[in-house]
Amino acid sequence: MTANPLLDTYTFLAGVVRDDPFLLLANAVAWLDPLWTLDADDMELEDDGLGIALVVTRRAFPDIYAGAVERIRAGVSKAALDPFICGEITRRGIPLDNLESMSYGIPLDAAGALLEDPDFYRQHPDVVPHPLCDNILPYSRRIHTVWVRFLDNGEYARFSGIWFAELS
Amino acid sequence: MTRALWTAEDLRECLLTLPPLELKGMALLRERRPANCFFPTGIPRATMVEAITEITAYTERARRMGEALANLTPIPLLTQPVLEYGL
Repeated sequence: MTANPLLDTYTFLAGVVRDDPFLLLANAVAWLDPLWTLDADDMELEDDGLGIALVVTRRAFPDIYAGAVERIRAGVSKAALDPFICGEITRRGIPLDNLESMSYGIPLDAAGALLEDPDFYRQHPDVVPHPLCDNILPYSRRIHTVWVRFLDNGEYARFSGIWFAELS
Repeated sequence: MTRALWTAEDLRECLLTLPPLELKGMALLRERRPANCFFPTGIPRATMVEAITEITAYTERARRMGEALANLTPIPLLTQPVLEYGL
């Protein structure tokens, strides 16, 4: 019996959690997989790069996610997490300078597409710059095709679709 | 095909016979949790990464199963009497 009854309550609750498999599982998930309910769609572009990086690595690179969560639980600072995650993703062939750039989607540089290169469109006549805006008329009605390289297995896939057409 | 009578109570008893899930993270919590804080500390990095990898895979499986269950196509039970919900 301690002097502070609140501490007794904590000990009691800790014992209940330890002895109940369901509560123990919930506690373990909160400890080891804190982002289990989050999806990339839940993240806003304004959110910090670390949050997006954790969501992305959880889906695409679970081992990097595990390393990042372990470091968070060990008290590693956000400043130290940035080079760890970027370094691990870079080692898999996707150059990443900092976590902030993860908010901008697929890294074109990694696929060899340097849009700022003045010769890019001459060397790739099958690619045309096309502004896609969802609030400017006329809406784009063409079929757009993108090539996507999946982060988890490195495979390429082609997706086509009609973007920004008005809904009728 | 065997015609069997299953009740909700039978199903409950069947599920209760399953052993509780035991993940590495649960064992770490049970064995290494200090008395004065929520989560254990000082666990070797490799052990932590192993536990996180396992529980992340588990939560993903659980999430996908939940999505699949939420989108199940109704299956008419024409030969299986369920006494509690008989019309």
